[in-house]
Amino acid sequence: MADIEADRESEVAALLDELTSVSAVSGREAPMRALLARLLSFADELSTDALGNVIARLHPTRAPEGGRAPRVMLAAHMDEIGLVVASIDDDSGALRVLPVGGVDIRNLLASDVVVHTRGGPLPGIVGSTPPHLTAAKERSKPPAWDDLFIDLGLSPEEVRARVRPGDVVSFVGPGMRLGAGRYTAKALDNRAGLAAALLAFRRLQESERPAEVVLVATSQEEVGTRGAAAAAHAVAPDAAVAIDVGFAGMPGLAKRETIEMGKGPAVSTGANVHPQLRELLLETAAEREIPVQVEVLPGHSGTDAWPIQVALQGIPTGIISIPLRYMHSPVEVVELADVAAAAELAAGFCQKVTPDRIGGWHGVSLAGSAE
Amino acid sequence: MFLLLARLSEAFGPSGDEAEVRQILTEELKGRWDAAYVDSMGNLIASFGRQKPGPRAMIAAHMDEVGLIVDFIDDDGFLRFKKVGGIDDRVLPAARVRVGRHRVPGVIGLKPKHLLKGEEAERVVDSDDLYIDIGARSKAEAEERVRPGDYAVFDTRFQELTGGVVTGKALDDRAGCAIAAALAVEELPLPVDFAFTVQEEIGLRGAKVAAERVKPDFAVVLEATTCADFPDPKARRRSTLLGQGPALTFQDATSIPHRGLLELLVRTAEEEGVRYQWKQTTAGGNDAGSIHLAAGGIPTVSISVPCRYLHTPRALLSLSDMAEALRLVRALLHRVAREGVPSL
Repeated sequence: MADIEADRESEVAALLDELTSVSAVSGREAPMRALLARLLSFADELSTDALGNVIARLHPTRAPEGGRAPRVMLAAHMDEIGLVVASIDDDSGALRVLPVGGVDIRNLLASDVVVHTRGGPLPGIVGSTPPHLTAAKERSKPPAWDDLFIDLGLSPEEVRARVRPGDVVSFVGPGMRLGAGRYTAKALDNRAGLAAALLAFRRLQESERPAEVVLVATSQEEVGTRGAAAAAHAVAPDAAVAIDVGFAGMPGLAKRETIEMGKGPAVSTGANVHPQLRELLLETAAEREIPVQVEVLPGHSGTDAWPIQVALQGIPTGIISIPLRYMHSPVEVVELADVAAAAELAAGFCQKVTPDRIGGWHGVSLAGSAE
Repeated sequence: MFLLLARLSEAFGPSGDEAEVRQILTEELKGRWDAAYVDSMGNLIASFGRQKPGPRAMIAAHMDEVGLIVDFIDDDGFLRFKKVGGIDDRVLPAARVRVGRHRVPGVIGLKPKHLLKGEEAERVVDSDDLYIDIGARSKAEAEERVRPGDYAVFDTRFQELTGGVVTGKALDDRAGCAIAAALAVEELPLPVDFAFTVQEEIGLRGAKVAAERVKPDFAVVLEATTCADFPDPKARRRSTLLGQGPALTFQDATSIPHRGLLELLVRTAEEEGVRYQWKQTTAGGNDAGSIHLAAGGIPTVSISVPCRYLHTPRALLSLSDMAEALRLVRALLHRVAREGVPSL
């Protein structure tokens, strides 16, 4: 049993190594699309759309009598937060940058970055003034965006020849295993969710499928869940599950604000989640003895589920949420077993999506009109 | 020098736990020295050219780096720490570290931006409120791998950014160590004791006892010094300029160099055509502060490699400045061999 778990964790870690080795700053996800084209080559259909979403389909293995098989969509965003070059200093060639997505500037000083230029990636570092030359008062304030700069170690002329405003900057955070089956890297929001979706898709390819399964690796989630809005419209699924990350417990956060590492993924509840779909997720977890916990979302889930739910005439939507620490930093942490459990839950759920199970989800016509 | 610098930069060596750095330098130099001594604090003193005539030189470079020390493991297995040496609290979030004798990997994480309340986003988190996460589920699990008193250093891979510009941790003062080690294996014109010192970052402590033991006729400190020339090369607080050669110190917070030796150093640079610059601040200090006061007083000067972003996980320097520093210290030794130690 322990060996099986170790194998599962290694499979997840290997996939995360691969997924975190590429850059996919929102709106510039091309390197990830190239990687996914390879990882999803076994799909029955594979395409991309105008927003850069990657859409992979597995046909159902059996069609229900006298009807079409339902279509279920698994959405996991593939983009990551980053920076964008706004200008280049005349004297020094220092790059001045602005955030793409919710970047906490307090994570940036003295960090490694990669600037993605026409001619290829350039390594750089976010500079800082040494403590010897700063006053204590300065050190008690986070830097302002106007003060932040990237040093490429190049002359101003070389910088201007190679970099132009609009080039994006990604953070560097190679994957590394910590203790207790945990794993750190940049962009585990949402490579952890994407890994779970990919693993689920692999399992589903090998098994019976009453439904058509559509995996969408969405773009531009971090700048406003944009890719998912377009994808939901195009795919028009009968049910959808967004797989993303949730806030894991850590010092400084109340337990009620967080979910726990190592207790399996959370099945979210709240206005963004279809109650019957959620019940089917929980039933799947119970049958397969997958550990799950509950995440309560009072309003906006901050995930792709938000636009998917209101696409077309409304799509029954649920959320699987993987506990993650230090969100939006280059040292995000997840527990590998939680990712594996999320994959198992998503795959199990897709296998239970049959016409009779989801029959009432879309609403019912009421009898009793005027006769 | 490049390969040695890479190894030294990635080595674990916070003030008080410099053994790994000492081991690398020992491997590099043993068999070539006339004698070597590791003293009670951990200074490595390697003597070369003992039989040679002429004044006895001491070349000092410190092995230690700024780091962290675990002072408490909390109930959930998070490591609380204190800073060892001068670190700006703002460079700690999102740092990767290695902890203790097992070099356990860990990260320093912040509460997610999404959950910050009110002015939290405007505040720098005090290092006392930060912690290292090594992936432990409990205090007991953490204690299997780490114990209070274990040190941590930044986990940073040494990297050449672009031609001749490198980044890494602990370039202050592994750059000095690499220059000294390169010089040590050359044919030297006079007897030299190379002192690879400990505990510079917490008060120039190793150099004090090393100088008392060596009692040289003069000393040269090889350092990495502040360089705040980027992004504004005209800044008043820039201190030094990258790529403009080693920096000479006219005065800092811990010493005023011996005037005669400093004049000889300047004359040497100018006559030998070695590019140099002045460190344009009196802030900071180095082992010269201890050495010049030791053994009744020792004529001492510093030669420093400009180093951007020092005391962070990612410092940056120009290899050309290191090469020029090596040329300069070598030329100075030849001058002193010919002319003797100058008077004040």
